[in-house]
Amino acid sequence: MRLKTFIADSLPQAMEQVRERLGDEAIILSTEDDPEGNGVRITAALNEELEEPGIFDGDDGLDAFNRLSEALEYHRVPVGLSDRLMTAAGNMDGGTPTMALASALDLELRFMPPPQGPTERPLLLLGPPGAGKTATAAKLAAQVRVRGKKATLITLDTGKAGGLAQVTAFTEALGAELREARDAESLKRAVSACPDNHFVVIDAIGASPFDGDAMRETADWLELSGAEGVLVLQGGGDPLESAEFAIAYAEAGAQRLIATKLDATRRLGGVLSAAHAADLTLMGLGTAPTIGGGLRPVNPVQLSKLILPEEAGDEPELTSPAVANGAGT
Amino acid sequence: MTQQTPTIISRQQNMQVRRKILAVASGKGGVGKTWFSITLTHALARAGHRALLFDGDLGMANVDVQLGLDPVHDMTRVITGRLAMADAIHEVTEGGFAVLAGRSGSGGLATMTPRQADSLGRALSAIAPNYDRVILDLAAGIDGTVRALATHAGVGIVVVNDEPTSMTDAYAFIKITKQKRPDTNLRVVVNQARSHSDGERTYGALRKACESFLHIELPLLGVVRRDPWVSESIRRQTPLLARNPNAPAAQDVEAIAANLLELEQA
Ligand SMILES: Nc1nc2c(ncn2[C@@H]2O[C@H](COP(=O)(O)OP(=O)(O)O)[C@@H](O)[C@H]2O)c(=O)[nH]1
Ligand SMILES: Nc1ncnc2c1ncn2[C@@H]1O[C@H](COP(=O)(O)OP(=O)(O)O)[C@@H](O)[C@H]1O
Ligand SMILES: [Mg+2]
Ligand SMILES: [Mg+2]
Repeated sequence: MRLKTFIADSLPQAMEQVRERLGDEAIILSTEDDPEGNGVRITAALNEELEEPGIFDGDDGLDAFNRLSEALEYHRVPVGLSDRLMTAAGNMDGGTPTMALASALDLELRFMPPPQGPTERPLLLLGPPGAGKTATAAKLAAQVRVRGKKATLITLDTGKAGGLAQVTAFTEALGAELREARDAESLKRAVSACPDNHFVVIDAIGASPFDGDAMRETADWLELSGAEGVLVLQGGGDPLESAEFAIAYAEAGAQRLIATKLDATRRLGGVLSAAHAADLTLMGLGTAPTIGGGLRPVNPVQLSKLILPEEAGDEPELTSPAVANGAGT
Repeated sequence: MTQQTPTIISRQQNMQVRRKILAVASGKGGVGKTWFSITLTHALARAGHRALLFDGDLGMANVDVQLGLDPVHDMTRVITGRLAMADAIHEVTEGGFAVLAGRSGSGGLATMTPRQADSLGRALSAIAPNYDRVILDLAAGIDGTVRALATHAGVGIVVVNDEPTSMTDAYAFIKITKQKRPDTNLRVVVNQARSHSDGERTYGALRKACESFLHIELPLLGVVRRDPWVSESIRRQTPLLARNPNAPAAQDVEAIAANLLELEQA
């Protein structure tokens, strides 16, 4: 807004000055007799609206705002993160609420697709027992294998009853190689024995974040193998607890996040707050127990669509989980 | 199962806290934001409400100076998590209200990031349930730090005077707040007015600009007259409502506090 005050002998003269200086678009904010006795004083203003309106501007602005904040509330996104997302979305020029939320997610979180071939460093999957590490390792290897690339799965989980049998079955079905390791030293050897043209994924033993020894051991595996830590965390958990878990695993060295079992939950707040609180790069969403097609890549636009219902006022159906199985792979 | 029930309950709780927090903003500095925040907090306390004043002018920290408080705590320690916010609260016994004030000229406060301001706002929201009203004296300007704090308030009181720069800066604050948080309840206080009718004219100009350009209605909360008792009490570092509750500016702020409470009843 540009504001100017004009003083003239008479009102018509003052109005003439306004038009000359500010043009026809100007509006008069106030008119008064000049206190110093110099005739009349007019304050006029011109709207200088150069930027595009944001999505919370204008007549539909409040609706868009409510729709976004209700969706975040529904997913139990913690208030701190949801405020950040709302602020970021409000800063976006124009577009639809879905696109504004996508831009906000892009700003607040990091994304990368699951690998399609050999990676610079092997991936080590860590996380609580039962989160889906072994299944995710197999899913990652499967995505590489269907593209005709080679894959090796190294398992540290040889002690658990049936553990070895589980991975043997997976790797045989996928035509991937299987190696075993017992500790950080043998893991290091197993990694260096893998040829460069192999995608290497390491299936670690589940560690509770409250078990200091197990967490330290996990950190050792990561350090000696030179692997990239990928936290495998079940979706649908309490958002604050998920964030605390994620921070604990990030301290042990996790940098990426794959959230699992989103076919069996409806709310995404736990996943979002885990990724945000621990600054983990979201690498995919597990959407089925099956190895083929059970891991979806996710980008900001897809995530935004999962968070926002189709139409204002729509509610997710009881029958549909947070993320439908299979789609997108 | 529908989205409705749980959503509404927790939104309401969140809204209840937000509605308690009143941010006092001006855009331009020197219009009397800090003095008004102090006096409004005091007036609310005199009306029987538990009131907390938070000094959000993080670079200047002048609430403690106007009140003559010994800066017992350094807000830098709160920001960096070394001191719990609740432990940094100072009771102003002669006013019957509580104050959270930063130390003047503390370097760490001036260089606070929006992210830190946001977590400060969250900490404030967490202790807000202990009070009936929390008054947040914002810094001048509309930068990211000011906005990050302001988003935690459900009510925004925009203080203006009749200077053109005050008007344009207040307009800028209103515009950006309506863009980022359209659910904020914005109201206007005209300060340092020559008379009530003069103040109403100033308000009329701002209202017209907001209606024409932003298409929003902006209610007037009240006019505070220019009053020599204000600077007199600031010089003595004594709250005006303690020094001279019958001073014109003191009466005006008490009327505003009553207006505010009445509006919330409605
Ligand atoms: N529905 C569903 N089940 C999954 C998913 N990922 C893993 N599971 C199941 O979760 C259970 C534990 O998985 P497992 O990989 O053994 O977990 P680990 O202990 O972390 O290695 C198994 O029954 C898996 O089939 C998923 O995305 N969706
Ligand atoms: N109603 C009033 N009448 C007279 N002087 C006032 C009034 N309100 C504020 N002032 C003066 O304005 C000065 C700036 O006030 P302050 O509260 O520090 O402003 P801000 O916080 O907006 O920068 C104070 O020194 C005070 O003396
Ligand atoms: Mg396993
Ligand atoms: Mg001030």
